[in-house]
Amino acid sequence: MIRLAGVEKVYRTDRIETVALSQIDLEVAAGDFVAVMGPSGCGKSTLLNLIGLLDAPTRGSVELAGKPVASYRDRDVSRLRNETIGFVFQTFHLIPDLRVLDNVELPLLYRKMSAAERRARATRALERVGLASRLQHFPTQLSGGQQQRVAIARAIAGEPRILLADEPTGNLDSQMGDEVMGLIEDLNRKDGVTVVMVTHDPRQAEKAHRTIRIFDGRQVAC
Amino acid sequence: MLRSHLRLALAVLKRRKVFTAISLFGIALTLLVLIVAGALLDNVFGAFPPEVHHDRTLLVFNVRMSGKDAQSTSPAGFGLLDRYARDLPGVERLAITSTMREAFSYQGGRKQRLFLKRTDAEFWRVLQFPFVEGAPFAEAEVDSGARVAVINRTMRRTFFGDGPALGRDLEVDGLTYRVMGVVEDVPMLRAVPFADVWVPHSSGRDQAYRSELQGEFWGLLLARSAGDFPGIQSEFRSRMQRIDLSAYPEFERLNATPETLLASTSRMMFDAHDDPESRPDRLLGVFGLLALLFLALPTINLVNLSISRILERASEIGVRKAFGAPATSLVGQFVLENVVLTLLGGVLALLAAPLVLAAINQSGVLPYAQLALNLRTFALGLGLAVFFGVLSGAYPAWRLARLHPVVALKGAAR
Amino acid sequence: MILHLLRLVWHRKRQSALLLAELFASFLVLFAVVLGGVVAADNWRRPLGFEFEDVWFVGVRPSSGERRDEGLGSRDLLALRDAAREFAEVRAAAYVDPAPFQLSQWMDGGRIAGRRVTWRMARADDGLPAVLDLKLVAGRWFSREDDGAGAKPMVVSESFARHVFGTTDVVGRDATAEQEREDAAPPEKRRIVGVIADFRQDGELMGPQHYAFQRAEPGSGELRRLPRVLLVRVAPGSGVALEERLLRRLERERPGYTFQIEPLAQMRSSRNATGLIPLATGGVVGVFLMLMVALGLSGVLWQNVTQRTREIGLRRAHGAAAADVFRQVLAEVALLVTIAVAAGAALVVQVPLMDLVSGIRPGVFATSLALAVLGLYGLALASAAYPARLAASLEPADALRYE
Repeated sequence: MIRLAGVEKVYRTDRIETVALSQIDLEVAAGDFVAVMGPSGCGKSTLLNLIGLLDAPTRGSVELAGKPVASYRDRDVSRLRNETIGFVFQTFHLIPDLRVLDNVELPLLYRKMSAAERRARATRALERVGLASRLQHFPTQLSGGQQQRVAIARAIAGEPRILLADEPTGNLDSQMGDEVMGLIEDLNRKDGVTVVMVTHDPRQAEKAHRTIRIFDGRQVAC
Repeated sequence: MLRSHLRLALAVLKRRKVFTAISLFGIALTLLVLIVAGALLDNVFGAFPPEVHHDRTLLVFNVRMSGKDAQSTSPAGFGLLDRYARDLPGVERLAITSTMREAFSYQGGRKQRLFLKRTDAEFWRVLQFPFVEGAPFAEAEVDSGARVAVINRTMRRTFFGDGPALGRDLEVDGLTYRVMGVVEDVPMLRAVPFADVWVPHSSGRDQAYRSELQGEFWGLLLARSAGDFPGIQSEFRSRMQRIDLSAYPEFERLNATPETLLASTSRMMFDAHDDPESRPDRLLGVFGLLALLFLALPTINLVNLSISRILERASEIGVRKAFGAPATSLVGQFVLENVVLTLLGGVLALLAAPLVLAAINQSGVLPYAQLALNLRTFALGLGLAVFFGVLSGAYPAWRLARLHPVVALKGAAR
Repeated sequence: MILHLLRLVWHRKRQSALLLAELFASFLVLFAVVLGGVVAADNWRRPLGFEFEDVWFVGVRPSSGERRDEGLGSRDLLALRDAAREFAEVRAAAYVDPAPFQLSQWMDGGRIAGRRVTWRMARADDGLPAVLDLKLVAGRWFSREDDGAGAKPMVVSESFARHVFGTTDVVGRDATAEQEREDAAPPEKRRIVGVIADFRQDGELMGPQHYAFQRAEPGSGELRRLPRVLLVRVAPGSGVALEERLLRRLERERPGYTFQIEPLAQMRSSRNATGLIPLATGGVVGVFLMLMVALGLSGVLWQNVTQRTREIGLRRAHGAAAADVFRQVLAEVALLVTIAVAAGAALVVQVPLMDLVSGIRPGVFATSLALAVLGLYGLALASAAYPARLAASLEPADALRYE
């Protein structure tokens, strides 16, 4: 489902070059659940951004769903992201001016789809995360755990095959964190969604099928 | 998608009340100035009664005579219009009126300044003045040089109180006229019909004006339809070429073109009296350029405000990009947001405009001004609002839509 | 400190560029409005060079049909002037064309004594000083002495004399324009007979322009174009009754003619009102634009401050006092204004340097520039005050936590 070969990412500013990642080879099969761990600033998030096509590698190739990413033109990656990837962020990143339902509809806005169908799908996604009663609320009216569940609903509303989660429980207490993890596990198990999750928390990493460790931009062990 | 974006735009504007208020203030003020300017221009050049046939009337304003060392530009002479502008193919009527002239009356021991026009009888048929009482003078009065006058409502009040004025005497510049009719006031901005007092062209002290090529008269050609304009213009111009100039040794050519008020004004501004073409678009270009120049500062101001407003939502841009929004769609979203804002400003400006226009009418700066919003100026206001919105929204939208998603998600956009 | 700020500004160059553009455009608008106001105020307080109270304008329109460039016959003009002088209330009467406050203007120009000069001019008869109370600085007004003189007599304004000759001691000097083209007709010979205080035909709003009178005394010799305006000085307090009597008398003298009488004072007020309309419109629009800019600027700076909460927190954590933060925000704005003003001033200074607008005195230009610069600093700092206070009031701990 995901294959990275010889991937390297170098950030250049005027004077200095920072190597964020080097020589990453990674293969994630369909239905896999991978946790990525490592200390702060080791390059975990950069790896997730590369998989999520939010950033282009300096060297090497990224392959998604069996097809190599040939072009990083805005239009092409946008479509690919929209159709195959769902994101969950540590800080939720819900749009505060939109109601819960509108937030969840967001990925569907960029597809050719009727408003009724968008609504139906978003409602289904919210039912899935147990928030069917909160459609008309604004994000600020919800607890942190509920907000992250809305974010998960948004990530799955477009029925992506890959879910990328960047410390999804980082801002939550352990009980809420467990709820959210439960949802992610459920998605992986029942729907066969491939999950790549960056985390600091070994307890959550255990729930993945396997763990990748990154240290100073290099993959250290499987 | 459009509805979702619209709703978001309104939600954002509602939440950022200070920003919205500041932006709206600037937008409304800017558009107000342009709408008032537009209403003024519309009043000068647009179609209003009594110019009921505005769309099929051509005007002969200026006549230029030129030679090697000499040049003379002046309103047409009565003789030129009388001898060469009659029976043009496609023309239903020819009306002749003098340019307006300041005149004084000492009636009743008081001095009154007023504006006088000398016209023929057709003038009252090409233009349809609403008469309060009486009737216009006709061929009989014009041919006999009768000292009769049509006055406007304000002059009637000035000279005769509020009672009827029919048959009363009015002294102007030492001559006494009998009032034949009273019409409603016409704004001074309407150059062609405007006057306080209209008298037959033949009612003055002498008749020598009848043979002049250049003088103080304008011709109004009422065509059957606007489609006849080109034919009328070319026939008129060729008649001008044939005029015998042997009495004027210093001049070799005489040029005059019947055209619309806008085209004539353009001709005067660019001093293009020998140009065979009518180019009203040049004048419109000047107006457009002035408007753009005026818009420069408000646009930069709004661009700065919009960037600030959108920048605050950097993470929203990041999320949308992560979920597959192409840059074009984000540009569209933010431009739309700006247009919603400027349209709101436009509505405010359109609400305030009647007050400003009424204040100008009241001030008396422009005699008898009847400035008001009409459908044209209303549409102009909304059009300007959309234009202003796109103009000021395009750059911020383009710049922010290109934000790198990773940077945008961090919210650290610069 | 300045270098430090410059680096900050440079680092945020795209946002700074837009703010600079706004400040630059505001400076140009502000300067234009201020310049208009200062020019008008400066012109307003200068003497007119003549007295208009109790002087009436009498327009003389001969019967039409005469060719436009031909004037009235000398005999007609003399008869009309004599008729006006019959009245006891008429203290003096003289011809001039164009008259003060009249919309028409005559321009003349050429190279005189090696100096290029353009000037406004009028033709007048021998009696004009008595009507307008013209102040002679040197020499004399036109008189019978000039009859048949070889060179046409000319009375010039002080500024004319100083511009061309560098002195007002110019009586008797030759003022013939040099022949500039071979094929042109030989220029008319002219000699200066007198100098008057600067004469401002358009009234108080007229800018500094050179002025000169040429003699047009009816009956003094061949004159191609005679004046069509008779000015009469009347006894103070004369009213409409005299106007009407004078009018009837003139009509009796030349029955085919049309005459119009208007007091100069009345022409002056309508002329000034017309002249002030663009100024007032520009002023109102300018004030609104500046208000808009001030509000916009403070909105942008406010957002800027909230966006830089971390940076400010860091500074506070490193020991910057609230007052230092306040000063820093203001200093950044002042720096931007300085750059914008420098660019704007460099641009507007071209106007006098390249001589694009004549008639703006250097002192007026400098005053306007200074006022506009001060105005923009004031405007920008006033708009920055609230955001700066907001930045200064941030608690260091909160500021660092904010994200």
